[in-house]
Amino acid sequence: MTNGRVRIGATVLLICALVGTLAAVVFAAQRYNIVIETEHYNAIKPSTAVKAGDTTASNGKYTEYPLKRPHATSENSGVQGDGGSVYFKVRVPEQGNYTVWVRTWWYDACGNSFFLVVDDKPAQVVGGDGTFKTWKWRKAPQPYALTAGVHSVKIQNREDGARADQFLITNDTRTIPTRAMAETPDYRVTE
Amino acid sequence: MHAIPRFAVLCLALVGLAAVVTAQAAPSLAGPITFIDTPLEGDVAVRDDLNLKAGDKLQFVVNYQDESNYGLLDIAAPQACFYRTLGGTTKPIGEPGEIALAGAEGAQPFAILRRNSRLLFAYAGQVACRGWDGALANGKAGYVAAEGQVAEPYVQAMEPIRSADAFVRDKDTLHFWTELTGAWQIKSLRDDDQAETMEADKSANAFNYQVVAKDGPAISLAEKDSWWWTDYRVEASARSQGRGAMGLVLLARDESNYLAFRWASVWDTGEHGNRAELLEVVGGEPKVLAEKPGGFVPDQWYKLGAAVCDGRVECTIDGLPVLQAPSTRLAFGSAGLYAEGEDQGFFDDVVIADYETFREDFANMLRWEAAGGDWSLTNGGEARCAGTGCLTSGRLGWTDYRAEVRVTPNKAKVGLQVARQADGRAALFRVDGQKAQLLMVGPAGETPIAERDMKLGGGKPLTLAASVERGFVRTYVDGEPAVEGMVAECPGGAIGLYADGGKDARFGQVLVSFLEPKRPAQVTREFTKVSEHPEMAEWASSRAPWVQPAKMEPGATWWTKGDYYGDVTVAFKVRFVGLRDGNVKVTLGGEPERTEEGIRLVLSATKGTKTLKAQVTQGTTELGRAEVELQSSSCNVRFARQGAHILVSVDDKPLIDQPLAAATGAQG
Repeated sequence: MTNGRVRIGATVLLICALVGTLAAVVFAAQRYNIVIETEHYNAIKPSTAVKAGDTTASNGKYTEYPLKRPHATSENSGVQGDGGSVYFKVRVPEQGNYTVWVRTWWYDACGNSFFLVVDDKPAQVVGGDGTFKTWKWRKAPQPYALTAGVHSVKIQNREDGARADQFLITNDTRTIPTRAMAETPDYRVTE
Repeated sequence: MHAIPRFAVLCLALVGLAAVVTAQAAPSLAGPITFIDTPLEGDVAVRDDLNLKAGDKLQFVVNYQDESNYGLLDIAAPQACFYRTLGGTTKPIGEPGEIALAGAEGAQPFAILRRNSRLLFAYAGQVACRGWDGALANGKAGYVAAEGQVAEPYVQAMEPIRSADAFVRDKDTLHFWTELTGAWQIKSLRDDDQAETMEADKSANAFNYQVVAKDGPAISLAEKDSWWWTDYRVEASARSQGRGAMGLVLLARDESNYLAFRWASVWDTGEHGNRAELLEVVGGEPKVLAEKPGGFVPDQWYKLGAAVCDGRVECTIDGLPVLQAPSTRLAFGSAGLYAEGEDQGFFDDVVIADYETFREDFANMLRWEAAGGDWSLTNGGEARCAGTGCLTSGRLGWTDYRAEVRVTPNKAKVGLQVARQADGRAALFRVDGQKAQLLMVGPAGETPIAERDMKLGGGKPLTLAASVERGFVRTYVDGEPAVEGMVAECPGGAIGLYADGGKDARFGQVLVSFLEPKRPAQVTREFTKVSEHPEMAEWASSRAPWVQPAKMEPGATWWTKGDYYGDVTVAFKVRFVGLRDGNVKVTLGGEPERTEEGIRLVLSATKGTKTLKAQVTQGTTELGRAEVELQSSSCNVRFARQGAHILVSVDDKPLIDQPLAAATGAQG
């Protein structure tokens, strides 16, 4: 009897170990790259606008904080941006730490940033660098700890003349985006 | 009894010999390929962590198109070499190299980079071997794992390197930079002790990146995530206040592995003071690759530059070359800024961009393909040709470059091809003892473009050079201009070394360098609001504003204020072709009071037709006339003086190409 119980116990342990290992392999190895086109928004608030006709933008379309004349006056007034934004709902498949990248185009040194707001977390400034008039991926300074489920992402106007083409939410620390990426519509929540 | 062991030993020896021969000559795939990703276009890197040990065998394929066309990295640790199979034939495309296994224990980062026809294999951040594949550029990547372990390889797409920073932003948005060591901060000159001295109130951008390096070198890297950066240049404005050093870093992986262009203060009397040095730091151990006496003057701004391509580094100060040396160990990595000393250092206007050169000293001919002729290597680092043929290399995508080669004709006609296309069409600059010729060559034969008498002494070595810029080719013999002309069919492409009729024509010291992009003149409005911004009146002047006509009436001419010498291009857009009657007149080298001295382009359009007519005149002499049918109602026009030629192109298609006597002056 004792030997039988030991055998059963060992078998159960072995099965648990195998299942655990399998689960660890299956779940730990999942890397997610969620790519959304900014023109595929859930809501948009002026002055943010969708523009088309740029062959260097993915799908030829992007969203923009339109250039103002005179340019860059909002910063001098102490208020950054005009409240305009583009808003998305994104389904995150698995809890984890996610980095957000935005494929952006800057007009000049006074048109080179956006606010990024995820859920109700504090806004981060994306951009501020000096590479102008070309599309380039810019990383949000801090990663986000996200639960599995639906999250909101808002790209909010900060400096006029700034454009956004796509954004990427990734838990894969190896992913360094370079060119325009293929959209992953499965993670876009449309309702 | 002894026969079997001897036989076995013999067999083993033969197998071993065969293995060596196979590894050096043409290895085949050792098994089925495990593909990593879908086919990728353009430049990519394959990355993984590997624990390689001596004797491990591993193969990676890149640019895989089918079983007869692919690139192969064959690893028999510690040896590694690139090969290419094209049409089923395999050949080495780089020298074998050795993987730095010593000291690299445990899993190490491993990468294969394919960029601009160049292949590079690095292990633990150090170069193992390089290759060149001008034939295959796209395809899948994969591996054949025999004994080495391949855990989780992935493909990283690359894109052109283009990064800049003038530090115009808040202090809390510095995340573009990774500060490895030292105390760095963005600060405005207006907040600085030096504000009054530096007249910060007159600066349009008073912000810069400041550093103090109390504990060893201070290093800050730009875009550290972009680990795959190779073949690039970095430049920055730099100033230091005291006895320390300032500089740039390249190919930086971390604070213990980087290249540094270090320039010490003239006040520093130490062993490494008052001099410029190129340092290679590997595993924290610095090695001086090149040095030059002379330090910087404290509190003076300088423009520092450093560039790396094919393992060769060049450093400049204010645009003048100061140091150059090969650096073969470090493979890739970020660019950044470097400082030493407790006195404050300042950096501004950082630019990082692609950089490419092509040098050949003919230690081998692995990067070249022969098209006719009997080509071989001499012992003295030259390629020798008997008969008639061409030795080609480079990329079809090369544009706007200058190629040069040292040639010993030895009774042959010799030449240099530029803008060579895949089908063999090219611009050929050819010399014999009597004349220099520019020809368009190809499967259809030779078409003369330009020719002039040029007495060249017998077998004396010559330096032939040819530049191609938007299809316009200029040539030189020993630095003297020879012939020039438009080769419109070949706006860019590879290069070729040409020999005809001799038995011993020799070529060496090939160098291809790329032309700096043309900088547009700053045509801006005059600043007139001095009452609103009095501080601007002192410094804000536009370099080349347009002068408004005295009378604004049809036909009135806007003239630029600037004087332009040498080559000049006026590029502009013409609209409403076919929608209105009208003409546009542009003058090169003219004066407002003496328009007859300039070169004038008149473009005419008539309502109802998309035909754009062009006429170029010099005074009362017509130089050329042509017309083009447009697809739309607008087009981009370039009106250029290049060398002794006037060129007109519409939507990048040549329309008029005429020789011209020299002219200078303003543009209107």
